[in-house]
Amino acid sequence: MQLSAKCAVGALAFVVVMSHSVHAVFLEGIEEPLATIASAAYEAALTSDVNLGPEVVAERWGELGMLMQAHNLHEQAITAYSNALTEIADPRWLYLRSIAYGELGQVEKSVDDLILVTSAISDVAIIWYRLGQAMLNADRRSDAERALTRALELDKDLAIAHMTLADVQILNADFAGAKASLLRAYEIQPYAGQIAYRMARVERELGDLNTSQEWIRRRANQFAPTIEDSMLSMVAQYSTNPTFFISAARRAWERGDRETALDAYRRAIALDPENAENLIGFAQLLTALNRNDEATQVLDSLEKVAPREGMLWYLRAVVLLEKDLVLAAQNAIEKAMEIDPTPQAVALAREIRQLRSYD
Amino acid sequence: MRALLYAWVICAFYVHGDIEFREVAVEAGVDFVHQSGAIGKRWTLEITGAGIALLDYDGDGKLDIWVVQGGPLKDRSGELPSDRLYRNVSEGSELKFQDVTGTVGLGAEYYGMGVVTGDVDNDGDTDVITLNFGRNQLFLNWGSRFEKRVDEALMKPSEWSISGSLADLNDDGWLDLYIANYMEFPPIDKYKVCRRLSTRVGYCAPSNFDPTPDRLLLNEGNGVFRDVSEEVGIQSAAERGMGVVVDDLNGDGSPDIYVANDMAMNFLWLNQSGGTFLNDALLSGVAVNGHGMREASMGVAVSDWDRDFDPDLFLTHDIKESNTLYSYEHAGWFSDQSIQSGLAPPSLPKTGFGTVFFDAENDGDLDVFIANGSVSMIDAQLSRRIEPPLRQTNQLFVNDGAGKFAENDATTLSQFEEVSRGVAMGDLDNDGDVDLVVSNNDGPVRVHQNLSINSSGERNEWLGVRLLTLGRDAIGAVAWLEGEIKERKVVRTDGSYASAHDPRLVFGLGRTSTSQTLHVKWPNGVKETFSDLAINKYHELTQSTP
Repeated sequence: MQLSAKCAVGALAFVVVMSHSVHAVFLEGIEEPLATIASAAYEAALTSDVNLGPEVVAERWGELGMLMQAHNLHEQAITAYSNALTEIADPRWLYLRSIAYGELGQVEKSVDDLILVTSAISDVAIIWYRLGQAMLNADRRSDAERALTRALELDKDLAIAHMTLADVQILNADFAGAKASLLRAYEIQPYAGQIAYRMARVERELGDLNTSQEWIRRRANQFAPTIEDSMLSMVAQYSTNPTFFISAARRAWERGDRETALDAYRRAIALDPENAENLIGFAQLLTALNRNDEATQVLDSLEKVAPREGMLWYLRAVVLLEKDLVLAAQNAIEKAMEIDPTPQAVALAREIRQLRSYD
Repeated sequence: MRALLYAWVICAFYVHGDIEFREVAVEAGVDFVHQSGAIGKRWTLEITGAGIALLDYDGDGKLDIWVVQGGPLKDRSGELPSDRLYRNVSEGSELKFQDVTGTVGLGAEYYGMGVVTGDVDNDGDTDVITLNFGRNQLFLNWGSRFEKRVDEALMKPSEWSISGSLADLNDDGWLDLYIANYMEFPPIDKYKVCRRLSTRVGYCAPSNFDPTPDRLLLNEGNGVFRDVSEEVGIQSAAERGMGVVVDDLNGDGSPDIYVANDMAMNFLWLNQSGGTFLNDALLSGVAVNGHGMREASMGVAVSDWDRDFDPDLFLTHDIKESNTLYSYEHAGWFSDQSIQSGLAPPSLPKTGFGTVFFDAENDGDLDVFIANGSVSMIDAQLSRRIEPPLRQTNQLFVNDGAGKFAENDATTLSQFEEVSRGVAMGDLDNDGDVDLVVSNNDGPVRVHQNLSINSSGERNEWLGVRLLTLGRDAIGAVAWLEGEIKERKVVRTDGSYASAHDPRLVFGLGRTSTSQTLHVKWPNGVKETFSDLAINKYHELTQSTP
């Protein structure tokens, strides 16, 4: 399902109308850009007259759930999916709700939903893997093993299922079994550092310290094996609103995952290349990371769409200063001061003046 | 058959009951409110402090409360708010404290973060070290007042220290000091803001700042420290240290150092022969979680939660990361038991800081308390203009005695939505159960008095000990019971986050009503057994051959 931001607003408009009469509106606490969209939709919807069947109502609730989930608003997503499910028992919403429950640490509810999903759709490996992982999180090891075995029957190359099966085997002290599972996972996705780390642990348990250390050395990163989850991709694709990616970038930045943050910004800007706010945010990130050449390119783009943006000239000054181009930096900060003399611009101007005084 | 026997043992001795706490700070006279210095600039520094300590500074047998203060960040001229010391003047079960800050020689010069306690000059009273953004400070205790001692090794300028541990690391009878340093932080007027959603100023993530190496100071006698960080190998790695504990973590009889690092692999500094330390966290299984992922570690607690006589570690983490329980397996090898123990999933929506293992109802197993408070702004609070918009409730997890924890949110421990940071444990009313004090960033101190009872409506039995060697608390001494109740405890004041605990040990005994035999391994390795210890009272046990 590919939905545009416009469609998302339409969906919101509808569900908020429904919520007006049937369900509680739950806009409190959502982030500002999303709240703006939702409020606009709500106002638009109040003037509409709709009378639709349960399939459409469920679909719209589900769409709202995906939008919320795409913004990491899991509690709101659960409410929306639950509303959808009161209309129609659609496994899609159960599946996504299970993931939202998992994000909130509510593992038993996640398991319950996934059991229902697997009884409706029994031939998708990734769903069985999710069930296995949820069972493991609930410490239901034999159930987890069964679910993961089923996942691997459906897709023998699902590396993450092999690795999670190894987790169950490690917990059961079946280190030989775990080693076999991990070697298979490694064969499929050798670049996933989490597999190498587990191998190190297993080899240590098996008494081979040298091999354990060798696996520690092979652990080049802390990535899990990648998976392709079309339902979750749908959540991401649903949110073609760039704020989704901005939100993702912010969260990645806050947890120190710089590359993910930068990548999310790139995607947001690709969706809305003339959004000055996003360009500023991206340039700030690059500046903070001292990636000054890339920052300059972004600032060039920003200058084309918003040449009178004070932040543009402030950031230019920062970048130029980093490159020891003090005179050019002074010119830039003077422009920034002329447009928007923010305290940080004033401070930087003072700093640059001081540097110039040493010349 | 063994399972049946085990179940019977659990039923017979580990009697669960009603866990009940009462929050009494204001009525008991503890009116402290932390000042973060926040003025809307969202400096990362302002959301990090501060800690709290329980110590008997005046030797009257009652635990007093030392609370760490922050204060203004931008302009620290003029009169500054100070750390505060509340003297315990309780009679009976009613807790009463008197603010004695003005009379005991405290005075803040730096922005406070954490506190460490221990007798650094072996004169029989508890000294205090405050860890600051800026110079750290040593307060030597002279019985009824403190004297600030200028110690060059301790007072390195411009460091941001959060947690510390006092322990005799080189077996010379003097308590040495490990300091977990956080990160470089620019002068406030040079601080570059970080923005959320491009426009809104938010707290900068730690990754914006360079880490600072931790430091190890050897006590050369009488509380005179010498910085040996470089020569012992501690400075070979730098991460953002937040919590620290010392224990024998590989079973070789020497104290090792474990450091919880923010957004980085944790350290396990193993004590080598020759006085050096080697970081073996990764191979030991305690650098990253069981999945192999580093986490944003904040607080740390160490104790024998599974009663198999070895030290287990519990770490608190950021939101969307589970807290992690590392269970000691054998030969210095730990396994991640977070999921099996039930501690992982409920921690996902919270950001944990201070944490303690303690026996809430004295039923013979260890429960877990976690002081929570976000570091990322919570939109729902921001939109309601709640400051700081980081409030979360704390969590108590009750041990069922068979290896599973379940959250109990029915006590005052989980009642307040605040920005909690430190937690310290100790028996404030000397009634044999462990009370908790919680420090809140930009908020009040909470004093949670333990009123728990068992299922018969009675209090469970207990055994309290204070272990002494060289005229002071025997930090690092290991004590264990091998009878119906099996448990290993270590005399310590470290752990949690930026905080310090009562060094006395309380063993919960459930309904076991017989006198107890306690085995002790003193810090110098000498073992001793104390028999026929009457229950439901504290015993002062002194090493016979120190």
